[in-house]
Amino acid sequence: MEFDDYVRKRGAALVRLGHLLTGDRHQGEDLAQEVLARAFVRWNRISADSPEPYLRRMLVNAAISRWRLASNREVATADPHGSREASGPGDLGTEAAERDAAWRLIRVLPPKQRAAVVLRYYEDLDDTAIAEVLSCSRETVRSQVKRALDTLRARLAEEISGAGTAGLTLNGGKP
Amino acid sequence: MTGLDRVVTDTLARVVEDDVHVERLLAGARASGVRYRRRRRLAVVAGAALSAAAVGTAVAVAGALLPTTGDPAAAPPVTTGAPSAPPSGAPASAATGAPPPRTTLPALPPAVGAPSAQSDPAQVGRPQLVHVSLDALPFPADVVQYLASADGERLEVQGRPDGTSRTMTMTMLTVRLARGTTDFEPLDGAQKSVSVNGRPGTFAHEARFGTGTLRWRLANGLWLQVRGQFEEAAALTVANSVRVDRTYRCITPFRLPSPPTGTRVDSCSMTFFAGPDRSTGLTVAISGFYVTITSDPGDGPTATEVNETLGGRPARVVEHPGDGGHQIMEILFSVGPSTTVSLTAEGSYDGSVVRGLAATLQWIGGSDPAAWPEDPVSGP
Repeated sequence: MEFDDYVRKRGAALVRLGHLLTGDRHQGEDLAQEVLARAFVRWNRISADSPEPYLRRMLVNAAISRWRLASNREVATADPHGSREASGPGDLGTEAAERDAAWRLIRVLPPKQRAAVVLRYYEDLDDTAIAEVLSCSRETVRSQVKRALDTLRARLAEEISGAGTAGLTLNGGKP
Repeated sequence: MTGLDRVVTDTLARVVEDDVHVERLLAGARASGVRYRRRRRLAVVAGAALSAAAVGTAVAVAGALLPTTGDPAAAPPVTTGAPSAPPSGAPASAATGAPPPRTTLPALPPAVGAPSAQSDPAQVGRPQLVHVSLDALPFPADVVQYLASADGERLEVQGRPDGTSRTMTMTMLTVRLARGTTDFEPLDGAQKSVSVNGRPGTFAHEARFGTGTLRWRLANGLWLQVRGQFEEAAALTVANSVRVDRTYRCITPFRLPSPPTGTRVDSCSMTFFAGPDRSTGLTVAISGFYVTITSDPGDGPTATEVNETLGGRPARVVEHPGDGGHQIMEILFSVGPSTTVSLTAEGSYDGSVVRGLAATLQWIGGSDPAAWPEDPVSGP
């Protein structure tokens, strides 16, 4: 597949993944463009195999690398495009508030935990595939995801209860 | 699937519902690819992390600025358009127990006797000196970060939701100081000429994202830029509060007492969070490769993750393909109950040298940066 064809077919998916990994739409676009630019340089070699896993891995590594080199702690940036829904009354408002809080908390997870969560819940990858992307063991993937979910569960419950919102189903609806 | 699984899945899917301009992405990737190929030929690989970070951020800049001196609790409330500081007024903070945001700019240790940027522009680009600061924070901040490298200096300020909205309105400002504009974010959008303290400048506003960028020349060979999501008036207010007449040190709470000959500091960063937490980062160049050393609040590797002992410290050492497929090496270890040090080597690194740096790294620690070593790559 030619470089242009690939970008037209899969570029949007890379931008969205970059958005989730960086926590910011514009940084996500920037990151996807940077990764594609690097891939452009060696496209003949990349396209000979399946480019998708390679580019996904580049994107995740670049997101983590950028975070590390910039300051070793990500400065989560604003994301007006990811925050259009204000809370409102009723169930829809509760869901919006829940999503707002969840996204805010996901964005400040340590980058590898965030990457593991995004790869599992957005890219729908299994532990083996995530381990390949993150260059770690499946046990480490499970550990990263568990830590992230533990954090999210605790902080989300605090945030929502602090805001007086009822009706959450963080425990699957069980009491 | 649990309730939390569903919340996470729905959240991630909803966040990225926006359309993507694929043709723009393609054009940008091709253009960057050509530039990247040219840069590779010239073997210019350092400092890439500091360049080209487009900041698409939502910044609500105050019409009135907070003072930089005095007791934070005594700071007057921000009025026009600013988040409702001080901390006690933020329900989100109360709900999470998060520390209150900073209302004054954290000061770095002064570099006594070092010339200011204005008196000697050539000082800008030395990674252990910081010249850029602000008279006042434009909004209460959760994160303040100083970064210095050969590419110039950067000061980033990140705020928090204003406490009255659940819509994640964040605040962020980037200030840059450099001897050229090559690595500045571009002047996106409609441009107009403006004056900053009597000096000619250019304000650009990207209406689509609401991003404002104000760039001006401070002196021959010295440029400043502020960028955020603001209009011209707010941008000028922030620009007028930028100071370059003081010089500080960018330092770290550790020392490399016996670096290989020729080791030099490539970049340095200090990050201050709300509360006592802070992070530091130092990248050193060693004969063809780079090692980034960071200190960060948080737990180190678990007992099952530890696979080596370096200098008596249990450490996690891994090597794997990094960005672009090149091999990188990462070393992680704890230096206390809640502080972690990591070393990441990129380029044609020598694993034994990187292990040696980790093994001999001398942790100074402490909460007062004034007590940290002035030069981390030399003796005491």
